[in-house]
Amino acid sequence: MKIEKVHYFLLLIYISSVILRLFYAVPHNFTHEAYFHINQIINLQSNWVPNFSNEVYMPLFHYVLAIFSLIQFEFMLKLIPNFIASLIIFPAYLISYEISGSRKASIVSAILTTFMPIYLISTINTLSPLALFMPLLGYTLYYFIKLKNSKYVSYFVVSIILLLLSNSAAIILVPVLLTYLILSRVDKLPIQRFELETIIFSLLFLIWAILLLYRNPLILQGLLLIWQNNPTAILSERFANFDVIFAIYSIGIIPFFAGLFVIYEYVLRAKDRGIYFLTSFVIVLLLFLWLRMLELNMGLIFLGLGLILLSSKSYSLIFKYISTTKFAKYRNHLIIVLIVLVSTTSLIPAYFGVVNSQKLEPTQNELDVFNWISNNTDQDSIVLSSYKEGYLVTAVSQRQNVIDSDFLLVQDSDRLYEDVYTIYTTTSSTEAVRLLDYYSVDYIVVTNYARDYFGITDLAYVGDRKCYSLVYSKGRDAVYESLCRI
Amino acid sequence: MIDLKKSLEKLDERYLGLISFIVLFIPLIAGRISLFGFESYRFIYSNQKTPFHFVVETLTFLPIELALSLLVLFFGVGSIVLFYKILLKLKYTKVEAALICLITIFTPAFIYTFKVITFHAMAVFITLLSIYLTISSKRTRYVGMLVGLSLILFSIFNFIFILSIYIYFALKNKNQIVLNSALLLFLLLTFILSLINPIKQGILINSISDLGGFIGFGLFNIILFAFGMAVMWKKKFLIFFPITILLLALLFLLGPYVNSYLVFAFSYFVAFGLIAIMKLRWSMEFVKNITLLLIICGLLFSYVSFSGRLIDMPPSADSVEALHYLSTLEPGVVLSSPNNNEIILFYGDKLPLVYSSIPLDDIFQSRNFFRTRDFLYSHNVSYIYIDKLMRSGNPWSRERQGLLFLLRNNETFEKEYDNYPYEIWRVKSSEALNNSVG
Repeated sequence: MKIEKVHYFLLLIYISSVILRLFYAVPHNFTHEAYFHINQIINLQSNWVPNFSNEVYMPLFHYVLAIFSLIQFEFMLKLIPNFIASLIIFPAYLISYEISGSRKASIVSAILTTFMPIYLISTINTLSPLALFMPLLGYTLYYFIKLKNSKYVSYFVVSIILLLLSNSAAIILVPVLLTYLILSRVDKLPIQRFELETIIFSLLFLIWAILLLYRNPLILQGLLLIWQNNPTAILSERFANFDVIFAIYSIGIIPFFAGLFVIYEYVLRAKDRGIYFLTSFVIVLLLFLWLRMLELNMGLIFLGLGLILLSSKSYSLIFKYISTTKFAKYRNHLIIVLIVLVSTTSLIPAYFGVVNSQKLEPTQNELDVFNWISNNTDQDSIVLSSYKEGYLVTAVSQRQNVIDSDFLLVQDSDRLYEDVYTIYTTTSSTEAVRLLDYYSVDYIVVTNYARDYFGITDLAYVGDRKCYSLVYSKGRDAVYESLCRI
Repeated sequence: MIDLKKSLEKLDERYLGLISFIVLFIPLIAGRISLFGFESYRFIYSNQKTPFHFVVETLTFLPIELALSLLVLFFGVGSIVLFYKILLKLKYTKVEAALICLITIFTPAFIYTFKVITFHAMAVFITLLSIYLTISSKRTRYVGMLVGLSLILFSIFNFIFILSIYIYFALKNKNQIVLNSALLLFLLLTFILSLINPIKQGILINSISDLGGFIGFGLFNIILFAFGMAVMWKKKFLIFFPITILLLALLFLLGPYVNSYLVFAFSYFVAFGLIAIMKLRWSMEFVKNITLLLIICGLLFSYVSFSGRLIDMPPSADSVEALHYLSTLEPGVVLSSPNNNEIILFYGDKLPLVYSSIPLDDIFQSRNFFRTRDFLYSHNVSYIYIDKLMRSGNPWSRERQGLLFLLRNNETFEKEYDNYPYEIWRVKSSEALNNSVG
């Protein structure tokens, strides 16, 4: 392959992306959610076999991190995800080029994908498997678009297997592929035999793998598994209503509308496989987000990817149009203006989004609380915290928690959530003792975060010294020992 | 590599009978002595007597559990043999018939029908016998119809179903178009009704075994069924089309037990879906092979997964042991989950508390000692039987919830049997209580 200027340019953006991400990631703490993954990585490093008894997850990303973090744990956990997440630029460029045929338009799309605000927020310090999933998704989409050539079949098959092993969200490709088949049929878009065969294989493989890995949760919860058994109180937070303004802010105003314009202009008019496939992708995501069948953040990242890639066609049209007008001599200037305009409308929200995402991180004082628990309590102690801090209990304190963000295998998640809420907010010591006894809680963590989350200044009943003892206190962070049993 | 076509050709009714026997017998090999599910015990004590009950009564020389297990096994094996013979009579090749039967045998709905004791096991067998006799020769036609008419002794559904099949056989092609259209409309109507009616909303999910349904089909069965339907659409005048549409419509109307009958027609389309995929001219042999492997793994996965759940069906061996102990205690009324009523009668040889002035759940959840004690005394409850299922959500999900909390009062309750989570508590009589206080 001949290395061209554009490749150097892409490499430059890629390196900038990694540096910018690390510039933010290194001095900051991981988010609360990241500790779930840290826990899995630590477990993998000890026996290299994922433990699915308490949590069900796709382990590819965790394996990658477990291997690299053997060298240097914390720094590698900051470096590798950002290193991998930035790889999205390459498939984004390739797909955009397939669709638009314009290098400049493709570069614009690739930059926008790499710096998509919601993608940055969700992958910088979260250890989210999306960091690996998104580049893989990009390659899967690319190899599918290239399927008109049979040599890409094996690439596509391998990428879809890796995609599934990195996140169960790969199942979204089932409705996407089906929608693509329907759209192609409606518009009589010719489908090659091997293309159809690959689609059949992919559909069956995805369904089979999900059935195999999620057998128990599926039998327990049926289709409700889509909502991950989240308690009602959290459900509306994670599977929030699709808000167009928020979507525009998260994806970027120009790519959002430019992508929709391409769908409006091209579908059922121009027989382009790439556009049809990406349109199917966007339609399914819009439908899933509207029906609240996909986590809002994840759904918006996928939707953003689809729309930004489609928008490359709009940019190429604009560039072409400019060259046919009197402004043709200013073409390069106009392209720079467009790039600046598009970038600023995406990069500014990205910057503010990343800065605001600090709220998702535990403070150093809060981390000190969990480190203290690790050093000063019995190994078999049970520690109660807010649900978002549950993974800090298992990963940092190395103790058993009562609640965390994963409700998949919890029998009655609503009751668990309500009970924890009651323990933090009740004024009745008897009620608290009853629940603390039921969950065999030894320590209650009351961090600054928990105080804000539950809207309390402190536990109302801790004045009862017989039952509660303050064993740690620093600023607004405290740990109480529960002493009474029924 | 095994030549699938040749292997299927060799599979005649004897081999298919043997395979179905093995598949239905495997859960017994796993060491299970009790019947499968509370439903089986409900059948024994059911007030609605069917011909199946009379057949069971003729086998009094055998223990009832063994008699029931052998009978459903016989009906299961017999149904497969009859189905195979029907397919041959309908001019399907040996390969097609064997494949259809094989798929039927490994479908969760079939296994459920012939493992959990309900009258449907015998009704399915009689339905197939009736069809076989009706189509096999002129001589046996009327005998077959007579056998079919006997299905009215099981339920109205069974009678209407067999009658519909006779009517369809009698119709000419032109009328079949009208009937097919009417059936499709009926299916649409019942489907919409099932979506509107909150009680019926779970029917579809309960018909998918991979999503937790029992009398259902695996997801791969459903995918192949849809494919088979599309492929066979040109032959829509075949008997399997109207039967499937009718049964699907009745499924939405009546509930998942219709799947016990639907499984045969369903497997027909699954098999033809599979055959169509195998016959497709694939451009890439490698992709074809892994796709077929995936399909077969997918079909087997549903079977393996369902078999595991079947073996875990209540009552467990521990539960039977606890109830055997209960049977050794003095006579008395037993308070337990209503699900346990029949097994308390069967193994525990005691009367369960069936009717009460207060909903039982109120008593299970109450922490009001005096109210609970008065209730137990007024209903002459002597024992409380607690099992694993009761502790895992129905009615309790916490260790000291409601009545479980009150049981620690040793003046009123005494633990008679303890094999956690299975417990039997004796309720001390009011006289005994008075004496101890005195």
